[in-house]
Amino acid sequence: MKKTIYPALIAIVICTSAFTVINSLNWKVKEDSYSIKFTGKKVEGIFKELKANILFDEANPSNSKISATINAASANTGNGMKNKHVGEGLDADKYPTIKFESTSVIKKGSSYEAIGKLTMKDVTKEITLPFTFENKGEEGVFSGKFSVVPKDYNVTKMGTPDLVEIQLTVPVTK
Amino acid sequence: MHALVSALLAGISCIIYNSIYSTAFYVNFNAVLNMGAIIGSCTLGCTLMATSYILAIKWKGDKLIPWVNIIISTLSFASIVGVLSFDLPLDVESPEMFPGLAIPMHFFPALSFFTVAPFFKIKIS
Repeated sequence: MKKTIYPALIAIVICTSAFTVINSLNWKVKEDSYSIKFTGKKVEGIFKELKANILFDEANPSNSKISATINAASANTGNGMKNKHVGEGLDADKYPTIKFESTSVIKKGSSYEAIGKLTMKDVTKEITLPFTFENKGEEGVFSGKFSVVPKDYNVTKMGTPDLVEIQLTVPVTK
Repeated sequence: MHALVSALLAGISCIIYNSIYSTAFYVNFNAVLNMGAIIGSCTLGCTLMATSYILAIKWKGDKLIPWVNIIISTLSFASIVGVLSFDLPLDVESPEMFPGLAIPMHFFPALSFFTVAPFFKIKIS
């Protein structure tokens, strides 16, 4: 009886600890706290309706996986007409989401880089997303900034800037 | 006096319209269009209109008043361009509803000014 109980107990402890490790890698986005800001020539605004699965291990970034989607129609520039133009430029009716899926995460000095695929208007391109992570124990903040050339994603509506900078601030909890 | 009365009338109209619009469409633009801004804008607009009347009468008597009225109306129309190009703070919900509130308000000062004009006889000095 003892011969089976002890290995079983050890197995349970190992499995439980593994679950704890995975759980500590899994970060949930704090709703209503995040900010996804886009800035271009004559246009700036925010995207709302972010959904993300963030598996991030500070100690071993290579174990990390980040995937996120944004509702393309959720852009807000503060101006109703500009909001409509952004939605039309992104063809939000036909392509409702902008997606990012990381293929690898590496450490770069005191910050990190998520290399992955960004999909917009059904066009997928590989991008490098530099970011930092501020660990506050049970909470944290991911911050990042990268640039996008809209023409690369067939976003060519008149008035679209040549370059758009995206700034992310995503508070998370465990 | 003409300016003050028309500003008061325009301001009250704007406040009532703001209240009805916000309730009917579940919007809140008080961050950019509060009572102080409304009263201040109406007072400024009506004061400018009254001043233009006084200057026109001093220069050419009553003959210029119709032309001043045309200029006032044209400027009221032209001012809506500012509303259409205005960017609200990004935390304000439903920015597409803002022109529906703000554009009619741009006509209230001129409307009230012309409405009360017959009550004020402008004396040519």
